[in-house]
Amino acid sequence: MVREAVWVPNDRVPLVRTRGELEVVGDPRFESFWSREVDGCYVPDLLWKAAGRPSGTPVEGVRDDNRSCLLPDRRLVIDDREYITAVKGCGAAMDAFENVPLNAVRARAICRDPRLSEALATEDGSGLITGERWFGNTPYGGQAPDNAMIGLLASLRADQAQIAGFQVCPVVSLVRLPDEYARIASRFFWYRRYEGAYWQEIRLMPSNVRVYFHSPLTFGVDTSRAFTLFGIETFEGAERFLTNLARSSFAALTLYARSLRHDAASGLYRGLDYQDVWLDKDAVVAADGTLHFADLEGIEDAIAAKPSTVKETIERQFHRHVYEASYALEALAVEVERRWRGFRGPSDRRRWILEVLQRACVADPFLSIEPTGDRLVLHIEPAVDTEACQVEIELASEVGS
Amino acid sequence: MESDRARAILQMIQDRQEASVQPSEREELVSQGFLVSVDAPTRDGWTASVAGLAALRDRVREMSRVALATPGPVAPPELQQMVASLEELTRQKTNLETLVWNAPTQEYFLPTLAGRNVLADLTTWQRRLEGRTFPDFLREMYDYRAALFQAVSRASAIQGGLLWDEETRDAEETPMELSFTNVDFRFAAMILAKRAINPSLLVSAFQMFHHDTNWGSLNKVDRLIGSAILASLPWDFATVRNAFERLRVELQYHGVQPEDRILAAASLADIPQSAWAEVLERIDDLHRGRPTLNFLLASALARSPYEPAEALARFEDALTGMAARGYKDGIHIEAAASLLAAGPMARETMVERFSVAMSHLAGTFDPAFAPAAMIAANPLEPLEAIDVFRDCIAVVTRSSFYDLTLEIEELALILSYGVAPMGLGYLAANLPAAPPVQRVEPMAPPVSPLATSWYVWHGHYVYRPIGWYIATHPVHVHTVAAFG
Repeated sequence: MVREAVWVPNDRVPLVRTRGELEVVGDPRFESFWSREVDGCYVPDLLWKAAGRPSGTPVEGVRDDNRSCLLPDRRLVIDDREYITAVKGCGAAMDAFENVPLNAVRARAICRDPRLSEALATEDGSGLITGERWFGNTPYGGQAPDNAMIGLLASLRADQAQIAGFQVCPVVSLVRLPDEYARIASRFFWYRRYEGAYWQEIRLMPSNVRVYFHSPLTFGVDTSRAFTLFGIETFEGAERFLTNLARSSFAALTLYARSLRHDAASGLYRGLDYQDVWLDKDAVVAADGTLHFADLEGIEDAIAAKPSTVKETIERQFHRHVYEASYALEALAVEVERRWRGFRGPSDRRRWILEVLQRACVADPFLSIEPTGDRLVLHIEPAVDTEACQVEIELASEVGS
Repeated sequence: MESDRARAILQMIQDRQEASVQPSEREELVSQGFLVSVDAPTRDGWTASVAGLAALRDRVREMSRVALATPGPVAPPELQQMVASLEELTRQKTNLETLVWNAPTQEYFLPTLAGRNVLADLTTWQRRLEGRTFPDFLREMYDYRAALFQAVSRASAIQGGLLWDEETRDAEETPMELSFTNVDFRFAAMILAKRAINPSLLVSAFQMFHHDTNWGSLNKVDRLIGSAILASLPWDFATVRNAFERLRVELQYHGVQPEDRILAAASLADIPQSAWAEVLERIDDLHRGRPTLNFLLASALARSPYEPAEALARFEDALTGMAARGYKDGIHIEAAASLLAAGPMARETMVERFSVAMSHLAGTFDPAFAPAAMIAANPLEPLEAIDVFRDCIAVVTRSSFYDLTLEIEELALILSYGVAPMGLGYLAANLPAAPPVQRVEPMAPPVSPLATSWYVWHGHYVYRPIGWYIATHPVHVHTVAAFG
């Protein structure tokens, strides 16, 4: 049975799909999809108008986060799970410095070319790829080639949509914005001009429900509505959802350990670690509760020279993100209590979470959760050098009180 | 079986203590799914299977590591089967840890979710269990919750009617600034749904008041609350509107400010004309005693069973007691104090009840003072009232009768008013519950069985802040600060 993708309606975004001779870097495993179903690049219609309306096909996207759009009618099933196509870098919805839409008026205010400004004088619409250098070296509203490539490289390590049990939103391809558009985008900036190519990232997402930030409906804030969206109608259904959420969250918390490799030539350990990304805004929750990490451009190898550094990295990664994961589990349990009651207060609720968590992770090859006295201890066993690199972390203290 | 006995059994099994459940009791609890019976051979089988859990887990992990190191999307069938067995054994292990031996029937019992839920109900209402059989208790709880779902279903039908009417009405008849939102209509629909009559009649009543009343104001929220309250009254349109308009004139002569007159008149519209003079005189007395009281506070006190002097003394006591517990200053604190002072409980227990309600409501409303006072002032025990409120939250949520999460508690509070299981429904309980059990002896003015003033408080102190929040925040508030 295919688990369907779900998405929350959001602002509709007019895009124009440009096909033809484009520079594309893609995951060969998804070639038939990116070369036929979603081939092309997707430019915001404001940029298309500024470019003098070259040939292209209008496409309606659904806003996802600030610089991405979903294409809900372009779907792919991977391993019994359906994914929706998302384009990252197809125009920013909001002005970079004010809480207002980035529309034609705002675009003209940052335009450095009078002819372009004139061309937009009577246009409407909003969303623009700009030439503002943003967060390092990324065009605001677009995507930089190096960031896009990091995302694709991380995705290439996935077997279908998971890296050793860590679920990801696969990046299927990267598309370079044609020069005719890139030249125009570079003429719109506030302070600093971005120097570089403009790319887009085509990725697959099982939903657009993020954990706490950056979607019209987030799991942590709008848990009631998320239940309705995901069709959770019984306690048993909620428990299945919690099982998947717990299993996938703990896989995310132990990403470094489960992706650890040892390079005999250099003598170094390498494992995947999170850079400037977080579970609360960069991961989405699928309809069955499985957490999928979406912003793969923030996942890169971290290098360690010795087992003690590996252990430190495992611990740091866990502690950096465990609050976000716990928040999602608690949000779910609170909503279960609101709907079906059944718990005798918060401690009973936490006991349920921990019980389900233990069951959810029982078959995980890289971790186990064991009661030790009145504590619950997480044993993390990395993919290599288990003896030297394993870590124990207290997951819950004074369980039962 | 008596309800007390059922509670004792379920509690002991929950606490993993032997409960000596007799065969007849066992039948009653097992047949309804409150306990699961496990015979000794099954238990022994689980014990034997679980002994192999650790070994199986190690094998699964080993095979999983091998499978992950091998290209290919799907785990081998043997591994999938072993994972399924491991999950089953884990479940059996959890079950074993919660089994309780029962000597009279020579079997083990396993508590269930349904059993935990009914135990929670029995615990909440344990003061009311005396003389009540367990089947009666179950039936009454079922009827009460079914009635809540019916009320929300009615509200949904009413809201649908209001929306359809709004959408099909001539645009010139309803200027944009006076048109209501889905959130507005759900608020009104929940008030109207308290009357178990044909929803279309309530829709047309609301629209008549909304469109055919000379409001003398363009305040949309006042018109919404006023229309909902007036349409909820069980009298014909002309009578209610006439009373409402005459009351507004009367209020003018009693110093009520023009901006307060819509809500003031609506809150008094259920009172027979013969009692108007008494109520208005009390309001004047209250204002003389405490000139800074606004109309809503004064009306709460004026409609209470206490003479103005005593009502004001209770009000002062409430303020002082709340301040001693750290709740100080502001109109919402004064509103809470007036609701407590007007309530039927003893003066000494007002603030204690309020504190209990506050501790449960903090964070669910912003601020939670007036809602906590509304719950504290109802005739149920505070924890019973909180439980009813939580039941209402569950029903609103499970019925998906909301768009925005922050609507849920607001709507649940309206739904909870007057409602309780086991015949404990009180004033304005128009749901098919039972007759009131705790009535305040009517004094002048007569205590109305309708909830006009309660809805005004709710509208003013609960709905209005939410409406203001919604009006001033874009729906996509979470997408604004988006850097991803």
